[in-house]
Amino acid sequence: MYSPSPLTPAVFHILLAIADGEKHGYGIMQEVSAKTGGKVILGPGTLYGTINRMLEAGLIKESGERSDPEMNDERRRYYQITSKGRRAAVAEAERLQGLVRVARAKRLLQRPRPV
Amino acid sequence: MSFSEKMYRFLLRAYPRDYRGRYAEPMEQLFRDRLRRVDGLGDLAALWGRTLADWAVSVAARHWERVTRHTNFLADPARRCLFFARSEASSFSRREITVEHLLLGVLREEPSLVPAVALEAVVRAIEANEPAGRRVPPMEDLRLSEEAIRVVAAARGIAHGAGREAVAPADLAAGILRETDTLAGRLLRKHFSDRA
Repeated sequence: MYSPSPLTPAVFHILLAIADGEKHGYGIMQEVSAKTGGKVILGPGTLYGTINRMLEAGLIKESGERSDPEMNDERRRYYQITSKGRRAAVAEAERLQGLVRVARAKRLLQRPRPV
Repeated sequence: MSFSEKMYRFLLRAYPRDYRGRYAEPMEQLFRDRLRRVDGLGDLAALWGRTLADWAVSVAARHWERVTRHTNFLADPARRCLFFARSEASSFSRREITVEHLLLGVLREEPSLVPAVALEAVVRAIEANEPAGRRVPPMEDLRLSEEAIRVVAAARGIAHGAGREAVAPADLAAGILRETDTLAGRLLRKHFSDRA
């Protein structure tokens, strides 16, 4: 069973970026930047340092090296989430959801309006 | 290749060699991808600002990870043993922390592990075996020798076997005892057999 200790923001962002499909480094960086409105831009050092630790921890795995048809002909390493990584992401999302619930109960956040 | 690409390739040399071997290529590629989307001098300056900040933080982090790779499960007293061991190794102008330095570190943290007389004898024997005399130790990062890595791994196994997560100085001493081919292992073994 995965121990639900808090993940670092960079690890959680990367897990979220590849939760719905494998991506290469630049794809991950773009996704994180887009989903955070440009507030989080993972530089090469931070991105690959975090990827290295995540590979060692078994949260992600390399899923091959090939070129991206939407970019140039350069070959790129792709990364995909593992089942352990997915469990870690779910645990972290639930932990954050719990915190948001507390923040709402303390009236620090507005309740979401029904759609 | 543009000047920026050449400059970034040069900066990558600051990362640890093994890490560089694995990630220098994709990091260069990522930098190139970002460079292609730069529009004007302002954009280029902003990219370099972010890149240099990322480089400075991540270079330090990768070197620190390399130093602590074998020791990040140690509890505070055992961590202090490592700190003292590093200081001992530096004071003898060594480039790596050997089992002997590890023993000196353990004994500085936990002198009660051996009687005072034996403690002095152990320290003297190790000092006599060092090729260089003592100097004021500079603050520097040193790697563990292969034997010292084995000691730390054995100490971890001993702690786990006793149902403990954290490694104690006594576990490190027990790990040193297993290194019978080292001076430190022989000295500790002699002390324990004398006491028995």
